[in-house]
Amino acid sequence: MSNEINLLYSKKQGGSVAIKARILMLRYIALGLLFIIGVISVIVFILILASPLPELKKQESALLTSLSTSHSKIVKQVLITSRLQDISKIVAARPDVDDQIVDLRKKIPLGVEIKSLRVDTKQMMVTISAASLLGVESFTQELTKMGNSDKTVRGVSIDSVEFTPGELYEVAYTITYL
Amino acid sequence: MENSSAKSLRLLYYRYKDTQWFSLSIAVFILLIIALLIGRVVFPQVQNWLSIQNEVASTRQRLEILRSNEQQVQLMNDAVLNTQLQTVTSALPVEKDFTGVLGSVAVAGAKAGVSFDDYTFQVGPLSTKAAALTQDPSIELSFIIRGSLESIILFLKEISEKVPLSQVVSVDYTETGANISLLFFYKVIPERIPISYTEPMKQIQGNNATLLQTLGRWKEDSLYTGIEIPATESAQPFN
Repeated sequence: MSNEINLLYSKKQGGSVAIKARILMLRYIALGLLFIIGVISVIVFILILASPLPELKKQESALLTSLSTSHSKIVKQVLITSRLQDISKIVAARPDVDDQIVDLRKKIPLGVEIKSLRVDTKQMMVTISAASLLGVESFTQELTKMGNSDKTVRGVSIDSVEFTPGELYEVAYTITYL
Repeated sequence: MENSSAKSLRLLYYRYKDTQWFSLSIAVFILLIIALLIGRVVFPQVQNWLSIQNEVASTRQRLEILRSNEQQVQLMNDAVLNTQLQTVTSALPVEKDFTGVLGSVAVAGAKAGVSFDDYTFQVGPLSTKAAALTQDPSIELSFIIRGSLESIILFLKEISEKVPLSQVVSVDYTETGANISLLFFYKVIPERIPISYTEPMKQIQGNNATLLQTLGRWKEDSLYTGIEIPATESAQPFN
């Protein structure tokens, strides 16, 4: 039987106490984390319950019902806007043939007449008749100027020059557009 | 009477309850529960909450559009809409509008002071199904008009300001008159008109409003007042 009472831990016992203290700490930390997780879970649950989504959905449904009563008006509006889009594309894309001819006529000097004219979307073929070469030259110069300055014109060419027995010059030009 | 496994568990509990291993196993068990809760409860809940938040934001956005659309619809006048629809439909008919085409040509011719010699239609397929498949369906009308170059230019200007909308394909002018080919556009109404109440409705404003006004003027100007085009046998596409 031992008669001594050792109040100090032996080395072995001291290590065991330290481990026990660490394990206890780990248990507290684990419990604390469990509590925090529980609180977070409850908060998120309350947040989900308090969401305004059901009320918003009700409002959306009511508005959709209200709009569906005016469906015919909406269809008309959609048709009008869609047709207006198509129309604006057509109007923007169509060539102003009348303006092209008017522009050409402005270039015709005195004594020169248009004998024939063919216009399509790609080119304009014009045949003029003139009593003198001066008129022809003046018109050719005007067309050359137009070919150089007008960005829509790709090129201007003379197709033929004829002198008829009635002492008239007939010159055929082709203006090609871009 | 307790069964043997419960007995052995109890024995194990009394044997290890004061040891460090027992404390450690409890801590590990709690940590495992935490991991399980995070993975199975908290994470899905948070995900659910986030998706609800996203849905709330998108619903609010849709509501704004719906409210704006409703306000717009309430301001719409059915009679005005009908007039506007008639205007755009007369400019871009839903089918081959031969009466409208002949009417606009006749009115433009009368205003320009030209006379018509002969005209032909290239009718093409009559079914709207075929037209619906075409990008820009149109009718081609060719005719000969008698008149000076000035009156032909005037005619071309007049026809460009008439409805149904047309485009000049070619003008072949000689001193006796001109052979003119025009394309008259139309567009079939699609079987399904895509309408979504939750998309902002396009308003008729700006350029569109100006275009609509112009079309209204052209429509008034294209009213057929009994001017007749002398018809020849070749110009009877329906007989």
